[in-house]
Amino acid sequence: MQEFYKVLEISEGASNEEVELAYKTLKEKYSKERFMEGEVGNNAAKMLTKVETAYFEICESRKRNIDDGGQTVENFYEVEKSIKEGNFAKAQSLLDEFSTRSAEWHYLQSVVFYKKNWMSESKKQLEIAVNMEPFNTKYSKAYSLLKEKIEYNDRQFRAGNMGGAYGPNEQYQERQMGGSDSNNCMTFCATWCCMDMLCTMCCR
Amino acid sequence: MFGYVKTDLPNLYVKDTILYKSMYCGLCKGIGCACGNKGRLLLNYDLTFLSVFLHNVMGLDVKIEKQRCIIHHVRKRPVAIPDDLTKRIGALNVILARYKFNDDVLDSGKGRLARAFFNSSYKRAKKSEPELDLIVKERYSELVKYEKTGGDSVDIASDPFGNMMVDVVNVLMGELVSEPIKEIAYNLGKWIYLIDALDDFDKDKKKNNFNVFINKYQSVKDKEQLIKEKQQELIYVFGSTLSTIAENAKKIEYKFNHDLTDNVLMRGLSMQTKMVMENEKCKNSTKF
Repeated sequence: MQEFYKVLEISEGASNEEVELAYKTLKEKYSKERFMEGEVGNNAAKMLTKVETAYFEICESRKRNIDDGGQTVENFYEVEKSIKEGNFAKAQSLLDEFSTRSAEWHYLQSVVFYKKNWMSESKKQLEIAVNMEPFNTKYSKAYSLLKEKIEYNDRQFRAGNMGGAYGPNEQYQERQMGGSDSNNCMTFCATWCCMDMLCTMCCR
Repeated sequence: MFGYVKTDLPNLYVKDTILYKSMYCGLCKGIGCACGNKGRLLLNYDLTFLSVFLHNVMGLDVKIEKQRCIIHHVRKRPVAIPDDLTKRIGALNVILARYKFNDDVLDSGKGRLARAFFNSSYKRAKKSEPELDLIVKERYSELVKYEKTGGDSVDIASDPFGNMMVDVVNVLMGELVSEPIKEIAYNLGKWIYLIDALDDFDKDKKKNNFNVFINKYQSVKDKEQLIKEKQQELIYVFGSTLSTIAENAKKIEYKFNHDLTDNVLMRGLSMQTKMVMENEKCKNSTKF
């Protein structure tokens, strides 16, 4: 079953739409190349049959509802569908029903947490998924995206601002002249006033 | 649990400083109208921000007049005349304070006196805003339920507070509410809960109170060590909420100029986080 997915250049957890899209683009590509000269045309013709069989087999297996690992792909598909619809409570209850927790399960759980703004839990689940299948590009890509977000925030944090209406950030990352004293000018002024008053009192 | 949502004063325009001050005074007077003068002592910055924010996104203009008050009785100060929304937020202020006292009493047994003192204000607030009272009550009980399990999930512990904010905004805004506003409300609630937990780490450790960070990092002795050793994780926790806020703040359709809300959302919050992380006293930093 894995080879079929490899032919279509997708992962096993891909949704039905993704399978169809991959099939269509590949078919189009090889259909064009088929009539070219020499090795390229030959290869394309071979690939075209391969793609056709792969797509057929995948569809059949999904119809039968059972994947090689015994995990129901159709259920993952249901979860993905509810995530897309924005129904996270339903997605969560669907996820809870699974008895075995594959990498894909952890990945989807991570997505649900992410959508719920539970970033720490999301990261935890994604880390599990990546550890279970280190070579799955979907998981590692999602993880690096999440990490990028952390690093971005980290930089913003050290600069002490998150951008916004006050123009380009660079301008504000420079140090304030006079340091924190000028930032704390309010307290400074008050102190100065008190001192001044005390002085006038003595010197009178 | 209050007083973390503040402006980054050095970077606030003068016009917005005046607006912010007058909204602050306006809310104080609003509490007076809704719950009586005693309740005005409970005024805080978080609800001031909520007032500024909601007035802006709902397109309700405020009228600023120079008025006197008990504390500022000599010189007249600019005050945003309290409208219906301000009064509702004033009632919410008192309700939130009441449940905070309840929480304190549950935690440490202290605060009974304060609670009794503000009881009459709370009763008036509850009478005028029963819906808001119910929301806060339910979300607090959710929180207490989780605290009893002694869980260590940052996300689950702060979830009730986030949802409380969403519900509150839902009620106050009615049909005008939009998705980015809800996202901001949720993350802001979460952030308030978490920054308070981090700030109170040492206190809670000493008194053996529930604190999600203590449960999560059991080997850590005090806040200084926590911040030193788990800095990356903490930055992730707070950074993820703040970046979601910043992202959604750009999507909001404001009805008025939004320099003030941007100052709080983009600068004030991260500044406060930074201060708590650097173990500075944050409560005194933005005095007028």
